[in-house]
Amino acid sequence: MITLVLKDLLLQKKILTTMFIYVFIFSFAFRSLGEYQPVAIITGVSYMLVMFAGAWEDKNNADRLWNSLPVSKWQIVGSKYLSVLAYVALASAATWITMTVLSLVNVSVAMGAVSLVSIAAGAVSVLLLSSFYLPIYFALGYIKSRYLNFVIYFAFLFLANALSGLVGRLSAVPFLANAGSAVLLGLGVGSMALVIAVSFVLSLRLYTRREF
Amino acid sequence: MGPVLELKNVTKRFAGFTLDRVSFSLEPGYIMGFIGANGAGKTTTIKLIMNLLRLDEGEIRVLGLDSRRQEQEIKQRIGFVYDESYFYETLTMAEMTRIIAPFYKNWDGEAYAKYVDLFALPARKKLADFSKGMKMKYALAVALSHKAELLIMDEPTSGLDPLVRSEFLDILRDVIQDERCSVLLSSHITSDLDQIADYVTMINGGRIAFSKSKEELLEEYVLIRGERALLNTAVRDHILGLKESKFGFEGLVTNKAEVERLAQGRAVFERPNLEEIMLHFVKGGVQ
Repeated sequence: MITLVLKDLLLQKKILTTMFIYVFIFSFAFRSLGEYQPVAIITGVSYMLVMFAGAWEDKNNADRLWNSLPVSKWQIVGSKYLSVLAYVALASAATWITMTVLSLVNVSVAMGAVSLVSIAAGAVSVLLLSSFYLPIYFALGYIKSRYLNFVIYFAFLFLANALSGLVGRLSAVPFLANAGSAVLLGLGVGSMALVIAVSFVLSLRLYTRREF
Repeated sequence: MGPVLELKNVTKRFAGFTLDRVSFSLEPGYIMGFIGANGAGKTTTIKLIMNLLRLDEGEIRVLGLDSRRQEQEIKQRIGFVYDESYFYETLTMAEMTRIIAPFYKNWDGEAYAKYVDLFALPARKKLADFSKGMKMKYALAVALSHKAELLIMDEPTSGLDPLVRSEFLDILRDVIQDERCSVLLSSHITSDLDQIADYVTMINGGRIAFSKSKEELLEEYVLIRGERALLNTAVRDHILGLKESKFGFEGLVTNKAEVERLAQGRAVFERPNLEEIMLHFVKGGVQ
């Protein structure tokens, strides 16, 4: 599976320069977000890399190749979820480098620092976004899923909004109000793991049904 | 040892086309040509063997293993070359190989290097810059570098110019003799198979028309040509895939002695090649 992740990274090398340009553009576009600016950049760039990876696969009709090689479908599907983390690492590094260079040349765009917290928040956002996108990608392939992308964006924003309201109300629940940060972190990570697990199982089932 | 490939009543239904109870088998160490017109069902059959499509009915056994339940074990032991390259065009050949090789337990780096050298393939060149012939040779090098016992090839020579096609077939023939693996080679270019096939299976309209050794096939079918008037006699009843023109007719017969007697010297009999057999089967609507 690691080989498949490395393959995804190798395919992205062609757009490394483009990635820095996107970080540069996003750093201006997301200035109004203040301290959340790096999170938004990391999320945006990472999700673009997810999209680009899908486009490469489709362009080369790679599903036919991978399903002819001794590679199981769960490896093919699982590697796409793992690759998301690799993209977050790439996007975070690109964001940090761009922000640092811009500050060195006195271009003031950095509204927040690229910290471990912003990287983690970016990772959570992209993993959630990808958990919505990947089952559709594995069911339909890149070209058809591309048309549903804006639906995914809006569904994600709607859900994020609904969840933030829910979290506000949940804080009134005595157990959660009295819970320590470790418990809350555990609940957060657990919920996240559940979403990814459900998404993975769904992706695998849908991909298994596909014909090439 | 049993057949390396065995299809029993394999059926796959699409809107407007059905692969209908396809059955044939390939014994170890032989090359089987899989012929048929475009759209006859060759690629569908190969996709079913490779598990790229789901079977509706029937059974496929590869190297004695069930194609669905033991898919990974099978794919470790077979090689494939398709009608077009499915490698990532933005990568170099060396990068592509680094990605593929780890998946094969029996990957033989020395064998791979030998074939790359033999086929004169440039390792550092991007696959996008490879000609179609080079891509096919690369696919063959990958297919032969993990000790494959069976090669599945779907129209590997289509789109190649005659020189490259001939070179590709020469390489294939030499390599197969050395490596002693079996081959299922689908092609609508029957002259390729005239050169290298031991067995020929023909599919027509989703059904198997015949599956025989090439020698048996060329012995069994005889090409008959004659004047149209001859078709008013009992000769007509013996002709398969009859093609008429204003000058005469052409077709295939299986019982030469009987037809020769009926024709009373007014027909010419010739040994057909695979293309003529295929044409008469297809144009004559024989199934």
